[in-house]
Amino acid sequence: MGLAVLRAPEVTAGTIPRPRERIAARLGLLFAALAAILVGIMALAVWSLWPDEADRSLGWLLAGLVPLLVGLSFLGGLAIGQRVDRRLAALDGSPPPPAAERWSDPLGLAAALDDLGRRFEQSQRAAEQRSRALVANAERVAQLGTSERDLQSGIGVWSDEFHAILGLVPGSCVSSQEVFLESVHPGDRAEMAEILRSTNAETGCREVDFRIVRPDGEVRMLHGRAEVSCDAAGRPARLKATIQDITERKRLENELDGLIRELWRSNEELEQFAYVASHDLRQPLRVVGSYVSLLEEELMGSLGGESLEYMGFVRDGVRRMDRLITDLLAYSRVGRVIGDAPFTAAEAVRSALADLQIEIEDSDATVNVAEALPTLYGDRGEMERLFLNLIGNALKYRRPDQAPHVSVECEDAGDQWLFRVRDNGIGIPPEHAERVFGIFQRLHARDEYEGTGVGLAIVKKIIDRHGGTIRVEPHDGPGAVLAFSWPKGPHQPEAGG
Amino acid sequence: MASKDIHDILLVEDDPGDAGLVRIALRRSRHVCRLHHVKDGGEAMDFLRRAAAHGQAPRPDLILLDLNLPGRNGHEILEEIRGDTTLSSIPVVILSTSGADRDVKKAYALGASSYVSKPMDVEAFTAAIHSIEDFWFGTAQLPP
Repeated sequence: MGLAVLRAPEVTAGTIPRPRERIAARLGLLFAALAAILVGIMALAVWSLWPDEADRSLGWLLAGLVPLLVGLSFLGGLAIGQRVDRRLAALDGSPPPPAAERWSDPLGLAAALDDLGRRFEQSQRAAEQRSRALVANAERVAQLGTSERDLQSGIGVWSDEFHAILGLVPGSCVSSQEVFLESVHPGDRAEMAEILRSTNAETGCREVDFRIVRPDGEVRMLHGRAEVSCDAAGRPARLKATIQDITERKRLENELDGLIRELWRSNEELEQFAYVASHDLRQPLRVVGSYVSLLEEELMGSLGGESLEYMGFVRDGVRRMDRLITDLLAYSRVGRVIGDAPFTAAEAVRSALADLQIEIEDSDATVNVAEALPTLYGDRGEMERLFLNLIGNALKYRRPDQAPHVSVECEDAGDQWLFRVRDNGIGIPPEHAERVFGIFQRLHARDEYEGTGVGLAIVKKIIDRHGGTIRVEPHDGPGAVLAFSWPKGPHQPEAGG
Repeated sequence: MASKDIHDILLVEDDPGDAGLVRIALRRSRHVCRLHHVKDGGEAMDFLRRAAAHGQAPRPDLILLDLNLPGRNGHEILEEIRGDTTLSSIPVVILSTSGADRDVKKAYALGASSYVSKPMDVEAFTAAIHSIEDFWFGTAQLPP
């Protein structure tokens, strides 16, 4: 089992045993080589100094002498080498090479090969250790413990991180399912036992969240995943399992859940507030307004000029209060009931104009709507309100001496449409270009231009919700230009937005 | 014209101001009506079942029911009326300040005959009451 090695003591350079040097083999070969070189030099010298054919017999003498010299040198080197070997062995305390080896393996080649094999094995083991250490490190960083179990033999191994997650020390316990079940929180133990039973019997993959109790009593939340693979006969053979500590993640999830619940609660509260505003606040207002009217009726003949004026203020106050509540309600309702679908901008403009029919006729206004308006995605009702407010404003804030002229334009701006509502009215001073979109923000005295200051705030909220932007566009000449963008594709509202 | 000359209307309304507006509107009506005013749902059910102090109560031709009532709300009263076989045929008009979609939907789902939002000013309020009367005591045929 590969993972068992992870717990072997770390092998470092200092603890690697030094291979026993075989001096015999080296000296024997060295002496032979020296003799061969010596003979070669001599032969060259003889060849060049006595080129005479007659003395060729010297060559033959050399031919006989060379092997003899080389062989003797070899044997000499060997003998010296073996002695040095024995001396060295005696020095470092290891047993000397057996006497028999002197004849069966005089060069010590078998031992030298052994040595080579051992070194190769050691370097391979070191590489394996390194890769295992890397895996173990990765497990530790990922806080992911792995285990593997042979289902036929029941033998299992746990990685170091597996132990660490359970709060156990590697080697201090048996890597058995029983020991694992003991770590599982009593409340989750029965369920876990059932899962282990089923994984032992069927193939496939299972995932479960469960609690454990560490030996120090700390309860942690884990995510476990078990996968059973089959042998060739299709029987469950190996169980590979991972466990991951998700305590922190769960805590954050719970926190998030709490926040979402809180958000829902505050949304509910807001809805309740809107309901109360629409009902409970308007009821007394209606009573005040109605009875003032009735009083006015009854006292018609006997009321003086000032009293009539006071009555007028009361009725006006009631009416304004009612409009404020209605507008505030409309503002709070934007985006509450979402009915997003494709619709044509032309239809939205048309129904806004139908609602403004009286204002248009009364002010003798001209309204030009661009011919080709696109199909948009969003809430059609909100888009109608948007045009109703923008065109309504263009009609309301007109110059006293000039009939209003309003135009609705649209241009393609890549991934969005750019709309403009242009008028020839009193305009919006550049220093108020931002302010006009604030709720209850008004630029004019009530007796000049009637309004609650909610209209453009509603427009902005509608556009924000659909992922567009609106601004007062600077331009030369009289009037105001309100430009807003509307994304072409369905807009995905940001989470929490 | 309907068969009866005098119509009995049961008004379930806790706000004396609003009740007064209904009374004034009916006084100016061309129909002859008797207005019976109760202040909450319990009293309304007593009136309809001729219980407690309402032993001599007539069976109303029309019920004007407010939604926002102390104790049981208008929706609950409507449900109880519609669930009672002896009362279920009486037309019930919801008269409420609320124009909230969910209130309107729920009222119709529970069997309201119609739903009228109380208008803000007195002329419109009177006109609304008159049109209710005109419809139920003029145009519509009431249950026998």
